[in-house]
Amino acid sequence: MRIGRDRLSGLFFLALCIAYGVEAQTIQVFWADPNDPLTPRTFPTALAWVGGLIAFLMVISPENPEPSHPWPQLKRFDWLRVAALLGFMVLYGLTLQRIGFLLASTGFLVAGFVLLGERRWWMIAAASLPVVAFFQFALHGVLGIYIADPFLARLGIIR
Amino acid sequence: MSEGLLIGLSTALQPLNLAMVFVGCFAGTFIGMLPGLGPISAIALMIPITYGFDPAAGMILMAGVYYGAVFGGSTSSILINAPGIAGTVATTFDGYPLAQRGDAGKALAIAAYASFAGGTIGAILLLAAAPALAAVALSFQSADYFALMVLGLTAVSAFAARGQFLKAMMMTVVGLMLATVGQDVSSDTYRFTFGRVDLLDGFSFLLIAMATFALSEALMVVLKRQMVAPEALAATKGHMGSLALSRGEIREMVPAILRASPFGFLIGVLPGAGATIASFLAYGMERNVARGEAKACFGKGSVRGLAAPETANNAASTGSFVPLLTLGIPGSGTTAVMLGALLSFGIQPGPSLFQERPEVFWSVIVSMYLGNVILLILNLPLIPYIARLLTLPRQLLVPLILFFSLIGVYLVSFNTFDIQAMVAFAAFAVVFRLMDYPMAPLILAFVLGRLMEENLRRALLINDGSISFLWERPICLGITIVTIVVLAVPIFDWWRQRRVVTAGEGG
Repeated sequence: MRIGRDRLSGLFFLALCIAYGVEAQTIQVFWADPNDPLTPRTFPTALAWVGGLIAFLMVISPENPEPSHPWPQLKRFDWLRVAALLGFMVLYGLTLQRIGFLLASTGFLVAGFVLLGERRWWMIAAASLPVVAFFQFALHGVLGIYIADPFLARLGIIR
Repeated sequence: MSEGLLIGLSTALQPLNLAMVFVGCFAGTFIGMLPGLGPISAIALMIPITYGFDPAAGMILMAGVYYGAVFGGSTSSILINAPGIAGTVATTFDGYPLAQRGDAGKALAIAAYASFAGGTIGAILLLAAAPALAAVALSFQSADYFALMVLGLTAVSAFAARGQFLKAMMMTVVGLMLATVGQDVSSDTYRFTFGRVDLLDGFSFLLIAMATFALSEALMVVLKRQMVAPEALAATKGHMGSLALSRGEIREMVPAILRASPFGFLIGVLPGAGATIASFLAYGMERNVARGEAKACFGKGSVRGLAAPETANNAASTGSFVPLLTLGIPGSGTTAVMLGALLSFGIQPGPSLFQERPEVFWSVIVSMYLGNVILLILNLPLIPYIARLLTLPRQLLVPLILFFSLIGVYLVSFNTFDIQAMVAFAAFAVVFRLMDYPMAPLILAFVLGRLMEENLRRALLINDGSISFLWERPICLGITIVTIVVLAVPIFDWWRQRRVVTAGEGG
């Protein structure tokens, strides 16, 4: 049996369903209401069985001979840029509360523009800081949504 | 009904709500035009903006975005042969050849008129069907709702592309699994939280919708290097041609519209089907109806070949609101996102919505019609200018879409854990999209998961823990039989395919 990506993904989901099913058995069940036919564990357990069955069927099914993204095409994809963008998003999440919304968001946008090939500095400048500042102003001033920003607080612009 | 219509009209015609329809249509057209980004992403991106609004205004905005996104998808299909959404793939068959012939203006006008007519007839049918179905649905019990949800989830997988049934079912199960994270619906028990405080409330629906659609679709644009389409530059620089249609073209278009409208609407009402299936079937039906020279024109710029799918996809979009508004059960990914939005407003759609919040129910229906009018009178004349948006540099758009998606979710919880979770789900969605796993069943199942468990629990309590309600209640039995039939077709197909391949390997 050839293991292609359909079967590989089937195996992944089979493992996921087993792990989910095992974890479901650790859910605390109070037997205070013996008449309750559906404990917090019942539905997840049923899901694990159904999911496991589907995953098993995927593993024994034939591979799709014409995937919409064949290997040669996948090799030409821009994996590096996507990985970098994912990294920037993680970094954005880590810095958002530490350095504040204004700086973190501006930094994220500038990094994203540059990564994706924008080289016109006036365009990068115009599409980052003013957009973030306007957005933050709209949130605070118009919608009344407060975002804590240590940087602006230190400057005395917001509390 | 006339009273309800008046309530709807008075709500929808308020200046703020009119502005919502306008903004929604425009924003939807813009987002729908970007290849890769569809109505689910467009609506999800709008949700954080609507949190401050009253539910009627929020729903009106989202209905406008939905229509705009479908219309925007048609624009990019016709001009650059790159459908923004699956529902407008059939539009490229005859729309793009027309544009290549120098009749881009005409093709866009046909698409606009057909969309308008499809949406209008769909809205009229919705006006009649929704209150009638809502009245019937009042007699539904938890058991019926549970059976209906199972049917909806099964159907959305069964109607997935050929060979994707198991993958769609798998995504449905994953969506249901994600819905079980957090506090149990009826007890104080926490499930799958792994001791993390961040997971006590489970994942928000907006987080899942944004990650699996807006974020992952934007990342796919980068991954596939779809940064600038040369066709877009050429199409927008070139002459669009006249928007006017000849009498002969109108005569050709009208019967196609009249056939495709009720057909598309009915397909849209079916759970799991929707704009994509409706547009393909309407195209096929129109080609079968055509005779002689008209038939030969299909695929080469036929007016009928363009009008039929465009009418059907809009009528189906309207039809898909019937189960959402009357039963509270979405039949598609897009209406699932709308259900999530309604729930976040504290509104539970269903037959009681019709009685308790008539202004929401009717204003959504009326605003759908207004959305169609606005798309026709505003977007059509502006098309040459709107089309220039296709040339906006993606290197600027993609980071901005990512930023607004991330911050939209962060603003709900103010928890940066949500950002990290979104990144993880987006990466998951990108990988599994490349392996042809559809994401719509996941979001539909996620939204329905808790409702499904709650209804199952209630049904079991009423029936002393027995699942006999599935065959003892006539409504339930009917729904269960339909579910089995819907399930049997792809299972038979899978079994036949497996047998052929096994025989091939053996021989």
